Amino acid sequence: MDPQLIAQLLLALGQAARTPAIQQESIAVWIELAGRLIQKGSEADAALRALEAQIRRMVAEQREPTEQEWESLRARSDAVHHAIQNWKPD
Amino acid sequence: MITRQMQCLAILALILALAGCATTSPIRAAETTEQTAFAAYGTFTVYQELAGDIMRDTAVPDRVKLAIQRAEGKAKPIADSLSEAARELLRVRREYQAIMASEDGDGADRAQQRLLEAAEGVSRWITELEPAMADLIRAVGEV
Repeated sequence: MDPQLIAQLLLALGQAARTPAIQQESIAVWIELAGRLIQKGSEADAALRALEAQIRRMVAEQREPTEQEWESLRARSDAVHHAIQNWKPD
Repeated sequence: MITRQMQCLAILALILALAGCATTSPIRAAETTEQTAFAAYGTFTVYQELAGDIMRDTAVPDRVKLAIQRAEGKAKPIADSLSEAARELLRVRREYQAIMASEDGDGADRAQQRLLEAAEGVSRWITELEPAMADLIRAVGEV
């Protein structure tokens, strides 16, 4: 991830921690969320490593991404996009 | 006071989790415009999937989910435009290579121009995607 993006994220987190709504969250929720964040972060990291390996293979083979590789990536993105956009608050 | 310490712990956890991500950069591994486009779209998809997991998490407050939904809804059309532009570049490059192989001088100039324009289009969408992806990551970080 771009270090600049991490800096922006940390800035946003710092602001979030100072907001009254977040200060009212219970200790248990924060502990639970901390655990979830570590897990989600490592899952995202594994997916990024797999993508980086795929790109390195393309570079080594001196080739561009194929239509099939684009299709597969686009299908993943579309599926999660529909799930996110179909969510409605209770 | 203790709540504040827990907030700090949660933030520290996220920093540590993201520190691993910081050492991984599919975009830096890419060498050509098409590979960079694929790496950028792929990186967006990874964060989209992370956002999707968070949306399914019942412990996450609705206000956070709404922020993620908004950021993802804004970034997705930009990412898709990048994908279309990159695939167009792939087609234009194939045409260019075919024309070069046929040694058509006039056609080669026009094809080269189209190739340059297509590559510029891809670069433009990569630049557009960066802030939209940053917004999505920020929304995910609100957890």
